[in-house]
Amino acid sequence: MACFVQGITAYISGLVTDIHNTKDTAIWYKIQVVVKDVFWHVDRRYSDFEALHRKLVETQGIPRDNVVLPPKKLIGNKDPEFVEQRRAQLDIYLTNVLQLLGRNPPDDLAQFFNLHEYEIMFMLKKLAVDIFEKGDQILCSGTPFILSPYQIFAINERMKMAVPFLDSTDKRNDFTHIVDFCTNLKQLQIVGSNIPLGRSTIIPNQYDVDLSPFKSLEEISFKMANFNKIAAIGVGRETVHRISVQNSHLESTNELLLCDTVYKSFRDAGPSHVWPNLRSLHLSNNVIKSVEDIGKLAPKLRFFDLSFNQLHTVYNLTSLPELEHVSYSGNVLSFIGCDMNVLLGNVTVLNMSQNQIENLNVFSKLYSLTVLNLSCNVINDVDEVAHLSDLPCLEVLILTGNPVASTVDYRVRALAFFNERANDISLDNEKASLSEVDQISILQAIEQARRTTLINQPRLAF
Amino acid sequence: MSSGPYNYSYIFKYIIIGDMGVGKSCLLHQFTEKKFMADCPHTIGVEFGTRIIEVSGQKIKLQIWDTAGQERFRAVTRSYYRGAAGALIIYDITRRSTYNHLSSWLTDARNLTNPNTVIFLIGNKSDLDAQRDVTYDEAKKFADENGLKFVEASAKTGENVEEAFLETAKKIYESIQDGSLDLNAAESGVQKKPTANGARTLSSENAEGRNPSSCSC
Repeated sequence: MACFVQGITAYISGLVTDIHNTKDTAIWYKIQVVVKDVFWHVDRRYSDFEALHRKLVETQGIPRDNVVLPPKKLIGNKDPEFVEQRRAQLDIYLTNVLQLLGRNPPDDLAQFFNLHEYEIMFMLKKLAVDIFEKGDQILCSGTPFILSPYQIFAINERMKMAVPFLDSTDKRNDFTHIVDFCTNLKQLQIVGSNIPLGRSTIIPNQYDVDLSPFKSLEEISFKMANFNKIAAIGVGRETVHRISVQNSHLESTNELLLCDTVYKSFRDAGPSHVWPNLRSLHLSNNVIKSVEDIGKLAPKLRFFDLSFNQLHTVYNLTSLPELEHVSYSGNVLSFIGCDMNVLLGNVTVLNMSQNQIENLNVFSKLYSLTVLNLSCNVINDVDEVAHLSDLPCLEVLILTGNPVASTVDYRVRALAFFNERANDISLDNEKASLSEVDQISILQAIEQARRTTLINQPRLAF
Repeated sequence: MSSGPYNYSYIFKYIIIGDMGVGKSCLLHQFTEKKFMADCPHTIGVEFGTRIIEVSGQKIKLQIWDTAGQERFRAVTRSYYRGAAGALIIYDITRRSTYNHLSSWLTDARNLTNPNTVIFLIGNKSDLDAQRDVTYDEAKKFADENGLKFVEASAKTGENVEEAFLETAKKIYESIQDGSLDLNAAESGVQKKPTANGARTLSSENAEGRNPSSCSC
């Protein structure tokens, strides 16, 4: 954790020239700022040191005699020997300044070291001002507020620290504004990262995150989060109605919904861990292999998005009586053992795109279905569509990206299976055109005739 | 719907202090949620609550820090006193020890807040009159001697809870009105809302309203 209370040290770790590729020959000093177990780099020029020194002398009254900035030199200031000498002098300057002001760094010094980006206290001061000014607007707008795990960690740590919130200059940066905002925030988005923050050694996903300051959450979304580090997600059990988790290597729904418990199965956890108001659960782009206990943990679920995971089978979701929308898009489903209605019950919208599905017989009894997306599978035979012909509510069928979609007369032949409902079906986002309608009726007439002959033939044979 | 909760012109900061188990968190919960929390866990460090109230026609947002009563959190909770406009000191009328400790809490409050901080003494659990261990008169005398406002209240029934929080706010507001409390002073614990401009908030809301819930699933 980086908090100045633990002491700051800084030294010049190198020289950089032309950092902006502008053929500028100025020399930048690469400063390494160290706070306990983390460090980061900032690049500063001699003129930045000069400006800092001027401000510190003005506002902090630092003694000119003790803390001396190496003098200016107009000619020959790129001479390697001179540069090295200056580097050493600036190094001493930094040490002296920090000795004097490091325990309670003024804003000018904090800015010079980029403390606002990496150090907890200054980071939170900046956040407090932002929230004081825009917090109510954010709460009104209903758009999610984005925080990184490191920021939430900072909030958690700050609450435990025995350091007063106020600095004497500005009440806007009072930490209370942040906690107030968190208490009332309804939509939170946590965006994690496994790569270091800016130019520091701080890796946001390595920090523990406790969600207990967020007492009014209705929607939580996690992106690239690390669930091993997230505690007290259950603070939202009563109020949350939408959760989304993306790119977070989530392996099961229990890992999410029971993430604040020692137990990872409902049998051990019990009814106090139910999410009574959870309506939609979006878990795309994870590595989900199991949705065990979902019916018990989220009995009111309506929208369930499992797209882009590693599911081989369709789970039995009939324990979710209110389920309407299901997406299994982008998994590795190929053979589905039994009828889908046994597994999915009453769903109205089903997305099975981007799998390995070849046969449609298993869909034949999903009588509530209005939308079925089967795009980008391996359906070869247009006769498979016959299995869908008895779905009385079907309005939208998507088969693009299957081999069958490029066969001769595909649209007409597919739609013809729906008999008198053919005109009501939107196939691949298009209803039958006038000419298609004609062709369909011809096809249907031929089929009718063929059937009649088939029925009549045996009779003739007598 | 959303214009209501964010429509206020002042922010007052409160702290709630007192011995362990006197019902600080329950009083806060009763005040913010209007509900009694029966099995309230011990507070770890600090808790927080907020509510918007109305005093003399002015909407005021209360930011309330609820501190842990346990001795081991004393160092942490002390850092929350600074910049509080109101301090509620709570004792339990059925436990004399919590009353005996009041002077220590009062010393802390006086030392760590500013001279204008309104200090309000609350004797909690007034519903348990049968088990009373501290009389009303005794506590009232203590309050008067120390210049504190005083009520007996019950977090369970809600009696006098609202009144205590509102009285405190009223007194703070009076100090602002008569000029004894300087809004701009760093430690006053009182702030003007950033853009106390209702029209601006409204228009930005309308702007949001124009692209109707394009984000929702």
